Amino acid sequence: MKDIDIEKKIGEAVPYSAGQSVKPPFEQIARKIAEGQPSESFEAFFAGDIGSAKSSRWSAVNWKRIAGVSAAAVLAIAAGGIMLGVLLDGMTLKSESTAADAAQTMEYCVENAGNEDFEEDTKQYVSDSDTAQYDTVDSEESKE
Amino acid sequence: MSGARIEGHAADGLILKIAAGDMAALESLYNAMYGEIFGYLCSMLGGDRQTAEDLAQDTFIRVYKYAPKFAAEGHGRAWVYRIAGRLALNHLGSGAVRTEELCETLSDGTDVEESAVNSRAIAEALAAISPEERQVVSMHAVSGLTLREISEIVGQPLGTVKWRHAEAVKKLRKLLEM
Repeated sequence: MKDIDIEKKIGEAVPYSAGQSVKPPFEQIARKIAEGQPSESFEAFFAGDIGSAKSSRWSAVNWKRIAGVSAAAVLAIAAGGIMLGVLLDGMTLKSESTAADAAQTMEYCVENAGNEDFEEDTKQYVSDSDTAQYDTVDSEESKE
Repeated sequence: MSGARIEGHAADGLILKIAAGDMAALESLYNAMYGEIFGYLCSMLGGDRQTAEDLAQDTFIRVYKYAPKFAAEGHGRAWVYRIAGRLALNHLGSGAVRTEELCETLSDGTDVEESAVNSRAIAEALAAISPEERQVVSMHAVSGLTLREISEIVGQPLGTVKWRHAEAVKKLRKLLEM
């Protein structure tokens, strides 16, 4: 067969008139209806519809993918958040410990102000520039 | 294809009457659409006339039962085809398709042998393509439905139906030329 019109051939092979010639009497339909056929509901009958089935399959497949990607994204964000939190906590602890040390030092100095040994020890920690400043003051005082 | 076909709006009116329990309306619809539904099912089922006849009856029984669910929008014929198509696909999903000669043509006798050979070849070719492709080409070729009407029946976008139709025709041409 060459250059055939496929659909024309199919239509000719199954003409409408063929169906009309073999049509069973309507009474058969009426009898089955009276017997209560069929039993399944409209929704159940179309539950396997191509459209709905494919849509369901699409939904099932893609929702799994979306869930998987979402789970991975959530884990990544959570991990990043945890790392950031640890980093910030570390910085906070360091600043907090520095502040705590400073406060402790101040308290110690206040408690020991006037203690000659403490003041001698403290002077040792003064820088050279500061020492020079005190030397000038001492020399001026000695002149007075 | 020959014979007068019922228009969509006329089918709507009958189905609405059927929803109210009017058996005379069901008989009118049955007389008007049985031939094309039977032919469509025949091509869907690879020429299995007995099963096509059973499913055609089941189609109209379900039209009666589900008529209250029908929303009249000028798509009565499409609605009946949707029921028939669902029955055919359910049957196809349950087992292999037996290919037999497609329903006998009303030939003048001189071409009966050639007609039978062509008919079987077409039945085998239809059985070789997917049920979805077979559904589209059967409705288009046998029942004379437009691709737009078919897209409504099968619940797929028009573009998808057009593509499926083109693929089916391409495969059938290849199968029938071998």
